[in-house]
Amino acid sequence: MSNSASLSIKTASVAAELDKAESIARELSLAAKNARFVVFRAGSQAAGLTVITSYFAELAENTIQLVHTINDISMRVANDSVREWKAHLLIDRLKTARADLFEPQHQQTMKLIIQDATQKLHGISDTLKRELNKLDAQLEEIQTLMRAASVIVVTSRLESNRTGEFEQNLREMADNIQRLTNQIKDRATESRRILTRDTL
Amino acid sequence: MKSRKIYQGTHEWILFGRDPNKPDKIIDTNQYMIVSDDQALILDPGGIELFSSMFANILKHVKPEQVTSLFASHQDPDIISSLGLWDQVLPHAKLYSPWLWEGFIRHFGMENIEYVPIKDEGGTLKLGSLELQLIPAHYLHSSGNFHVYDPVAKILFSGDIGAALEDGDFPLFVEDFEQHADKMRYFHQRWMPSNTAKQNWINRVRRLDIDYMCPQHGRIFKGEQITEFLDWFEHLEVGIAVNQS
Repeated sequence: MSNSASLSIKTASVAAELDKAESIARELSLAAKNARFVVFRAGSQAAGLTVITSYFAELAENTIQLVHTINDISMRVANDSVREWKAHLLIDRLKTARADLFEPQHQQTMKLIIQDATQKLHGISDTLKRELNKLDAQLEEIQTLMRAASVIVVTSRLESNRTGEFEQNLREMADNIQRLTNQIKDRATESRRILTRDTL
Repeated sequence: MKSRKIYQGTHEWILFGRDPNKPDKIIDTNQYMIVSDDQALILDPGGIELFSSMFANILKHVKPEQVTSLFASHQDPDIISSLGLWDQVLPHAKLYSPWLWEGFIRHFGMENIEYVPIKDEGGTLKLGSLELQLIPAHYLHSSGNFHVYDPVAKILFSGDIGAALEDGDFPLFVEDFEQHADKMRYFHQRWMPSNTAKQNWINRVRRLDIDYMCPQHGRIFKGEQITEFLDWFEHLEVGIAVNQS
């Protein structure tokens, strides 16, 4: 399989992973809203958690936005990999055509056409490399966000100790948020693994 | 792939086909190029598998920048699936094809070439000082289908009409019409869906002054053979799969 075809499959696989990540982020958003409601009911004894629940709601929204951005980049990479594949195909076909030409002026014309096609191919390949780097950077950002979220979850568990009758409820919510952020991080990690592995 | 001039006058018609290197199991196709002044038009440029041979042969006659137009009689892969590659080597060319198929043909890949949709009633195509006529041939076999008539050379490019699916290095021209009719019968009966459309096309073509009728598959008809073909086709029942199913 050509590198371009392999890359098309990889980006499609990343898009599928991120589709899962988006639905998890929507769950996270809902969990953050529930937590905010419980904190509101808990009143002054859960005052320290107000900021934290807002943080999770914001985190969920940011993650959804980030997933959209990554999907846009993935789509561009997928399109560019098809363009790269077509450019390779054209060059292969032009080289076959050159073998059918014997007159020096025809050979020369074909040589120039192949040079032009090769130059365009390099342009596409350069764009593709840049987009892939962007894609990797965005996936890394999701991982970083989720790691930071894990730290905040620990803080929220500690804060929930002071909420009396709401403690159990808020602990369970913190566990749920931890589980969801871990899942999103796993999706991002898997996406980066897909992009960097040599074979499919 | 072989190329042969079939008309040389104020302009030229060149046939490309009988490709001994084409992959097995794909049908043989005739591609034609008309060169008028410093412009060239390729009629039904062919499938993606033929691109290398076609392009090499084109370069033997004209420079790439002289190929200003492509014509696709309809949307089939053996007609125009090479479009994605032509699009990269002829970025300034125009593709003349039925309006009906624009959204479909673009699936073959078209980022640079301009699509010029042909209206159902047909029209003209200017190539250098030559004016070609785009003759409607709808439902023969495609629902949006055109042929090209050159009134100066008196040549009709008839797409799938008059086609015969033969293998090997068969002759360029029809020799014995009766024998050749056997090679065309099933193709026309099975691929052509409408007797009404067939008759409409025959009536239209009978009014044209034609010396050569050039199909996209098989051999070229000359002179009296064209009338023989039209008479034969007129009496042929088409759309036979309906009765077989």
